[in-house]
Amino acid sequence: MLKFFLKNLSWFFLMVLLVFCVWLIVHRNSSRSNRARSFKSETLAVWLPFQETISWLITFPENTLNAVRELRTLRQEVNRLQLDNQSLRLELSNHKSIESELARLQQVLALKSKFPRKAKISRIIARDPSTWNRSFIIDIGAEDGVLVDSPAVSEQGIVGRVVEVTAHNARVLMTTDSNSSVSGIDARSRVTGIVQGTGLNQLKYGYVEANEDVQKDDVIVSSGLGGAFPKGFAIGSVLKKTQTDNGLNVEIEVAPAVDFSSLDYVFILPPIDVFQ
Amino acid sequence: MRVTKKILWILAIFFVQQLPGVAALGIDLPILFVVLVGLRSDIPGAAGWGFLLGVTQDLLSAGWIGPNTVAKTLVGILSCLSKRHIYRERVLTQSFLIFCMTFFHQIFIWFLLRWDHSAPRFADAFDICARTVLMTSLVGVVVCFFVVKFRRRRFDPATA
Repeated sequence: MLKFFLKNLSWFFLMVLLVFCVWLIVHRNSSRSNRARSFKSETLAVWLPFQETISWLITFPENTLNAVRELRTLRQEVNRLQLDNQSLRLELSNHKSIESELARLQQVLALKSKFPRKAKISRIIARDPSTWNRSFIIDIGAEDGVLVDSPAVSEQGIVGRVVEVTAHNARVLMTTDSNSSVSGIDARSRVTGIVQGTGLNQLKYGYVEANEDVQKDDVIVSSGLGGAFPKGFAIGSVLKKTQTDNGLNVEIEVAPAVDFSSLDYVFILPPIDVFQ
Repeated sequence: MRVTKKILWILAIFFVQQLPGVAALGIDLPILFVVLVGLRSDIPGAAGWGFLLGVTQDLLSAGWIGPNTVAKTLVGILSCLSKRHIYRERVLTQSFLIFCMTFFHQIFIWFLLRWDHSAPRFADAFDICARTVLMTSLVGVVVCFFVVKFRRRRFDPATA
């Protein structure tokens, strides 16, 4: 028996693999449990220092080469900037008086600044290896104060939210992922809806009735409802609006405000409930 | 293949796969590797490689653990079975096999995600599938060209 087993060891191995595959499918919900999540987080914690090093090794020579190339144009740029500097100094003196006036008015009206929270800047070190998911890994984690559900934004708008955190890294689920949804509002007509990811570089503005006033090029911003994202950040702009077959709803395609392909850095804000 | 060599291969594949643009463009390098290894090993070996790369991809990805693991294990087995029926040291044959296996892989994952109610809607899923099959097959042609050339030079210098 043992001899037979040893002779066919590789086939037994195959059987074990196949049985495990079936188990994975049948018990797929267990891979969403806290235990599985912590196992994934631990895997990421082991993996990411390597990935971070490689990412640095790849970008460092490229950045150095670019810096050398840019030296040629620097002199021309310096001359141009000196001229600009003189004119800007003049403008600045005007603006200073306006600024002091504004500060006084803000005190009078007791206006709170829009985002008093401290945003943490982070670098993207790895993208999702699967073609079905849209996420990336950043170089800050729990030890830097990043929490699950922290919104990730860039100067262009909402990027996504943190879904996994390790000690030094975190995973951000992009708004374009098919499992992502953000409560949005049309900045022009104030029509609310849910912006959902498609798994591609595009978004859908859902739960909008056919007679609602949403037009091409309207900017959709976060509504602040749902408590996941702060209010007023750009999500995208309306590309196309088409009636569904039943005529009750419309299908609205939205182009993301953020250019995800050129995104290198993101700002991580504390989750809204923590902030409040 | 030694264990260290295997680990180095897996590290190299995923370092490249996680670079900006590779997965976003729809290129699935682990499939290429599983198909090419499947053509040159026995069924348990090919399944093992598929399983290992699939589970790594699932662990590093935002989704649940399973779709890539199962799909790549099956791709490994199917690639290995197909070597009995095709002449494997030709660029065209291997590229066609990569096309078929990527297609099967994407459709299989799509069915699993649908079953789990976590799949994108049909048009978007179709787009993801089509792009992955197209891009992976295109990259596959280039990789196959070099693999075939390298193996001819190594094992059959007279025809290289």
